[in-house]
Amino acid sequence: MNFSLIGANILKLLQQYWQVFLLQGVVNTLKLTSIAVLFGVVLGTLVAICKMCRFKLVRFFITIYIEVIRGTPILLQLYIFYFVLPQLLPLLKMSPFMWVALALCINSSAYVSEVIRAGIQAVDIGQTEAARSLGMNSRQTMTRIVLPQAVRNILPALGNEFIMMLKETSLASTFFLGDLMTSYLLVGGATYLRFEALIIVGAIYLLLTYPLSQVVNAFERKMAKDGAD
Amino acid sequence: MAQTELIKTVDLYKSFGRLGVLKGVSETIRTGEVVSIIGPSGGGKSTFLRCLNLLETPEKGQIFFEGVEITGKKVDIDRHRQKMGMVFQHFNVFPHLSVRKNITLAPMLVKGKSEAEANAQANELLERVGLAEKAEVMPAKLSGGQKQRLAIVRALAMEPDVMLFDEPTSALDPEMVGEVLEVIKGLVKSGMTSVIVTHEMGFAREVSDRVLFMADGIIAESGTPDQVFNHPQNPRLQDFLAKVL
Amino acid sequence: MMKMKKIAALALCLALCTLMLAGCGGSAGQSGGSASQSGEDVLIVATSPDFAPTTFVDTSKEGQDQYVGFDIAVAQYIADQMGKTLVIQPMSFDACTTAVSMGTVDMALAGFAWREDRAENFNLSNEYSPSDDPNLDRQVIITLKDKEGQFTTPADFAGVKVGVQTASLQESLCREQLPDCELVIIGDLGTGLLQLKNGDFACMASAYPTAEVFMNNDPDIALAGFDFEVDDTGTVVVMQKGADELTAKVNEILAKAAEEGLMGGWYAEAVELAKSATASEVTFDDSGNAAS
Repeated sequence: MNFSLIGANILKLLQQYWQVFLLQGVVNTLKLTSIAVLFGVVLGTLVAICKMCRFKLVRFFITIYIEVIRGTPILLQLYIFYFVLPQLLPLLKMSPFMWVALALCINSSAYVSEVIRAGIQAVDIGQTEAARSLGMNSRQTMTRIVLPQAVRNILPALGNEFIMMLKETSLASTFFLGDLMTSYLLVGGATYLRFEALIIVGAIYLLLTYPLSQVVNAFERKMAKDGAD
Repeated sequence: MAQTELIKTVDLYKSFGRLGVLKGVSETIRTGEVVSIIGPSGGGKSTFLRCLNLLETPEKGQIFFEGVEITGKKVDIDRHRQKMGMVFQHFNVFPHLSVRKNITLAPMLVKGKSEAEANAQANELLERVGLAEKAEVMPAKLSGGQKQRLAIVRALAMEPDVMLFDEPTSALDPEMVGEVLEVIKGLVKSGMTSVIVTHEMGFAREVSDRVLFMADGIIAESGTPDQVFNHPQNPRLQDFLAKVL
Repeated sequence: MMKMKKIAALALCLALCTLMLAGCGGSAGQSGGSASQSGEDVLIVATSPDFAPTTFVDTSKEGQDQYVGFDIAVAQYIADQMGKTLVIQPMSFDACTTAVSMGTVDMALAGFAWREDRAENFNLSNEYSPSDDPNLDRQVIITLKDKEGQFTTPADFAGVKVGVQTASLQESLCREQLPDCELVIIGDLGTGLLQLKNGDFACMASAYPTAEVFMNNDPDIALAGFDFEVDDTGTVVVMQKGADELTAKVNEILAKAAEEGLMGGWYAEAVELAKSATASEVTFDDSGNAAS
């Protein structure tokens, strides 16, 4: 294939469409990711608590919730949220952007809940036993002993979830919601310089994820050092 | 010595899966008594000890602590656990809290002590076990022996009526065993009622008022150290002693 | 015990999924025929705006104005004639038909060709096409410049790899008219173009207008020399199965537009827009920074 034009074409696209890539694409991608992970964490915490609660029935339904979400493709979930739910819930007037954001939140919550649960369960059971043997009740044990230690395990995993979600928001381009991948479709579709557009978008994704993963790694190292027992 | 019953167990049964670990254990620990539990691994020593403060729930049987049946329904076990200090094989110090906070957390949280009060008590306790200068460091900086000494005073800070030791020296490097045993010895001499699961036969013989030999989920023999170590009756005990001594 | 729980959970998951699917089937059936959940005064049209000059986005504009192209002009006309406001709902090509069958949108225009299976599952309008220009109806094979004109008869394609978009008109044309070629199925033409340049296949089937855009943008691309035999190659509006009243109305409007000779103008306008999307040249000033 002829690479001689690619450099010039990339410059051409950047010059003409930088707003589409940066102002629209990056902003929307970060917006979707932030909404998804933020509400995903809130919802995921609730889900994790329910998953560990003492009522079998609650645990049962939460398990189904988690397994259904983790066991089906996220694209399928977007379709359901985009096409089916607005019809089932006609009173809920939300923009397509909000529906997709909601789908991503729900998706994120399932993964985050497992991250939180795993983080909590990774704390040595001896810590709980020590706290309980001192007369602390289960709530005090959870908030004062287990959670502060679980955070070490959870935070880096949440960082990774953010990075994962950043990439998965590209599926929002199925509905042209303005994320980075949509930028690729729009620019590539209008100019047929798809390869060039793809390179630009790929580079931007990398520029976003690489520093993030470095931060997560640094944090993990710091936690490992502090936590050495 | 006022020999009131402090802990009494009646016919305790406990199994993990299909494996029966306790098969009817009835025993009474009296106030001021120092009781060591010895026996082969898997004999039910630790499980029995952990049942005493309900870290393990027995399937059958009753446990009375200070006259209250703590295996009964509607018992606020947290309240009773305050009175039973426990020391674990793997220390289980809180790695995210400083040495001082390890000690003061429970008294402040559970007993509602003021910070000043708890700190003063912590200082005194740390002084007693030679860790005064470590008060502000994180547990990660401590040696195994120091961690276990911390774990002991953490339990003492709750001013318990009995101390339960679950193989307190098993996870220690040999050179650190002595310092921990010294602390326990001092505690025992001060009159603290103690139940000690241990593999340190010399120690058990030295500090105990009574020694229990557990094997196959029952207390196979019990008596004074002299009876148990010098005149064992049960063939399993004879066999066990032959191996470890 | 654990296993039992897991199996039970799995069974319930499946049940839930079927319920969901059954639910959407039901709701689609209910709204079948009538317009979607939209109000009376808007016409919601699904399109996949990544396909210049048929339907694409003018990134210099915002909101609904940004959707341009031949099909968008047609949709605008349909909406105008029906006295409704056009609302474009962009989504991927596959999702467009889903949106129609679900009743999420009233219709889809995205360069849909008439196909038998499509006609079975949807109401399709009569075909419309941009005009008298014979080029527009052509279905061609493109290849790299160095092989220009080297494939003129079906025999030339024996054993040659030809890229075709999945489930496209070109795919069925290739199967019928180039039985000896080796089909390589691709997802979209833009990617296909990359594969072509990469040597994954020697040729790629495409509609002529698309081929023209390719050739304008990339001097490496040329016509292979083969034209498919096609009867009529217009595109259609896709509507929900059973929406006969709407279909009749759309057919009436399309006929009117053809009669008034509007299609050609819309198409020319779309092609101009598509060209301008890539028209700006890159120059370098003295410092080496790109500037236009």
